Amino acid sequence: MPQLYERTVSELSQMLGSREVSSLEITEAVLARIEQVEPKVGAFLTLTPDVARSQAIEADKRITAGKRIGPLDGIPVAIKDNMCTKGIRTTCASRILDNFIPPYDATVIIRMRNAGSVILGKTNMDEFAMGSSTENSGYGASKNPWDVTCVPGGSSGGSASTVAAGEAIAALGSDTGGSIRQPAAFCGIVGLKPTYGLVSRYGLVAYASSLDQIGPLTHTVEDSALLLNVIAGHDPMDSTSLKVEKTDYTHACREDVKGVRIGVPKEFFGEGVDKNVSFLVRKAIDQLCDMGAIAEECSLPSIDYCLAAYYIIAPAEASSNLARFDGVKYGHRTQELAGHIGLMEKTRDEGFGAEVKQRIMIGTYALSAGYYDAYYKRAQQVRTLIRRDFDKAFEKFDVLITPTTPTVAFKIGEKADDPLAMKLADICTLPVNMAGIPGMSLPCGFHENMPVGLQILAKPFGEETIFRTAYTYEQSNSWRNARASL
Amino acid sequence: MNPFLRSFCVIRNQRTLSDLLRHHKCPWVGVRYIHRWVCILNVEGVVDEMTLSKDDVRKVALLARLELDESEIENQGEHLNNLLKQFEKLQELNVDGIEPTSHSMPVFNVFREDVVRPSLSQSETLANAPESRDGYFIVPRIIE
Repeated sequence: MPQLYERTVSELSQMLGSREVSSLEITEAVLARIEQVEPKVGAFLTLTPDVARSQAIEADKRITAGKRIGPLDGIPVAIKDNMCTKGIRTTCASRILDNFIPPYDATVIIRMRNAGSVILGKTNMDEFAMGSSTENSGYGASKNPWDVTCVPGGSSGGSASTVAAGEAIAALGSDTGGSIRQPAAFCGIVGLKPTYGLVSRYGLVAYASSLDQIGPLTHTVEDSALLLNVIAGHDPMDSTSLKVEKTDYTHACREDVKGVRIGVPKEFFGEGVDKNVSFLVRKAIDQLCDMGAIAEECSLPSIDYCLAAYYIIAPAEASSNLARFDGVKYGHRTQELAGHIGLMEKTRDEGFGAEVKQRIMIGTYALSAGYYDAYYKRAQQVRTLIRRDFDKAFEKFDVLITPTTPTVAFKIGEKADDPLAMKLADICTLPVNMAGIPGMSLPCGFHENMPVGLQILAKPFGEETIFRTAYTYEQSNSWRNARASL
Repeated sequence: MNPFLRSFCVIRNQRTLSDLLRHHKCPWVGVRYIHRWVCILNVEGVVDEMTLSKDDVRKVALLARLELDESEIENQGEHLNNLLKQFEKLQELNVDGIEPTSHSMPVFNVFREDVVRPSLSQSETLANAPESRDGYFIVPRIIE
């Protein structure tokens, strides 16, 4: 019998519904698990056991009174520390926000609270979501529950670790270039980056506004749908949030891929991708074909230029977004005496880590007078080409399937001195953010005891096709039941 | 180098030919043609294309409001130059006539009625300020 903390949202939801277990029992089981394994994993930056217990008691009252809100009512979840939580410290894993207590909730937090979920705490990440390993955190690296000498991926590494380690039943992350999907792949769980504009970004501390999107990290595809049901939807507080009809994504979780056309973009299986990873992904595609899908190789020729374009666009937007950290309104302020410009310069020098400074510098340079056309504008034109490649592919295919990452999780410290190698960890996920399309990573096996993820992509608002394909594949194997032993 | 182009560089006080290209459209020669020249010049070591000096890095740091010490200037310079080298790949592509994409989704101006809505109170707004007094954020003296 699996422990309560090892179960999925849908299982626990059923157990809560049948009064087999209370939310407080689940919450206590998870809190005890956190106490036991957190010293090894280091997934949390802030724990809120008191908030969690009182929310669990409230949920139990509702359930007893027959006023259960929905499947998430009473389910303990973890939140990436770049989403504002009213009254709960929100640091973005940066020393510059060490003491920041948001006066308001992000829209996704309001929706999670309104759905009755229990908030366990805030999870570690790469500082301001800039990184692929959680090693760039201002508070130390998180560990991969499958092998604590390996990184959990990033930037939502803490969120992925909590779920994989049984320290939360589900978690929210954010994805700018792969920051949900890449750690999900490294930690053997399901991670979804929804279509840009499907989930409100209000209250998400911005990294690159045109690429950022919030999404769920869960054990199963169905759990992913349950969370997306809650967080998706138009929000007038985010002017890039789109007006789409409310959908119940769990309806798309059914075993049926008959006639689904799968495109297999050859650029994602070439040089730099571990052959063991591509073997498992191809095997999964073959399995889907056995179940009635039709696969064919295709090409996205502009993908080769994606990395360079991304590392202009994202830092350019970041350099503008992070201008707000000036030592005046919130966060760290230097103790040194300086004029008004000196105050900003010293505050930012003390508060930001090395990677954040690098991205601010390159972004500032790319946007500076005389260089805008050569870098930023050209990168945006390349972005158009990438989007066109995907549009063309989706004329012919319902989904595209690729590896989520070129390799399994790497060792802590292995790529710290090689920025290009680190960036290549995101090579399969970056194009998805550039095009704004949805993408999901889900487990497709193990290589040397470390999880491997495959990525399913669809056209904008094609989440249901993703859920259907992912669910069908997931039910054909037992990876979803695998749990890391800690 | 075409003597006319060289004199143009000097007149305009541009550090390198690529600076010149970025600042001015040259209608009389194709950009590709000039880039070939830049490559040749690189081989001869006359023009060090896309390389930022320490002073350039200091200038960017000032724009970014980052006070970097000497070792950081050095590291940042190296990092920036490495990245710029990677960005050169983008010059391979022909992007003539391609519209830039700033957002992947077609969202344009979003308007709402101009009415007062609930917002944070003054005390909530100031609660995280490193220094505040009498309802104000306190900053160092700006006007001498």
